[in-house]
Amino acid sequence: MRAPPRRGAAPWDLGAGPSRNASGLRLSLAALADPTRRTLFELLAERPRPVGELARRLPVSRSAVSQHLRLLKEAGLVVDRPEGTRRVYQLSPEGLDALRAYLDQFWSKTLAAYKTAVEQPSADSE
Amino acid sequence: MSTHVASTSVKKSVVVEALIARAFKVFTEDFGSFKPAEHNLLAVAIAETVFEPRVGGYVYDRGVDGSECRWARVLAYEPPNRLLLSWNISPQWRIEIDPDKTSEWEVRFTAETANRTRVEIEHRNLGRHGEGWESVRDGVDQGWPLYLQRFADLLAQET
Repeated sequence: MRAPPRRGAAPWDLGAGPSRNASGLRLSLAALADPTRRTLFELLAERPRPVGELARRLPVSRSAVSQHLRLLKEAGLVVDRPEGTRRVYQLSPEGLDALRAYLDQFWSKTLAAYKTAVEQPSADSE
Repeated sequence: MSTHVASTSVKKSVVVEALIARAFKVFTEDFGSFKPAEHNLLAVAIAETVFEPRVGGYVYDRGVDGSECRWARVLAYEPPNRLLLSWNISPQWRIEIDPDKTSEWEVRFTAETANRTRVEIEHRNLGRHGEGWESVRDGVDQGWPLYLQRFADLLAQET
């Protein structure tokens, strides 16, 4: 294995990404970078749950849970719907953002490392 | 405001100081040397990653215990200009055997000057993995936590 590329040193193109996509991705990454939101996300991965139930399972206030859920919703990772007087959250059925976020990073890393490999002064050119 | 429409493709490009023929050769023959190490579905460490240079071939990881993971299939192999491969990994981080539920990634090599090549990757049709999201939504699948862990690991490495 070659050494990994220096973070930030590789001038890869961030792609065709109109800023809307790029900011959407950053939003998703930020949303899942927080442990509380990740826990919420994992609970919702098991099944849809109302806010109250989520709040009972987390050591934070209900209003804090609502705030976290709002951020997850803005990131496009969860959706909500009213059910009687409750509000039920579930993972977004269109939730491709997480997969996109993974692939975005995967290809960035791959291309950066590829650039390093291909520009090595004929270390392995025969 | 409530509906966030996700794009179903990811595009990346890089310009490398290399002849187009070398750019293509390194990309295919040395793929395992620059593919992120954390991209691994095997239970063990990867001993090598093989890129079979022909249509119908596979990109696969071979683990140190001999196990294999064939996670991409070569759909077009056109040196030194183009590659098209499937992405046979489901959102549950498992090998997808139904070709209708795989996405695809195309790699294009374009000579900008004699010694400079642009390499573009478009990973598209992510929506084909949609079945997985529905099963996740229905709560019948336990793959998400693993997937999330991978995702979180990546995030941790990024910071």
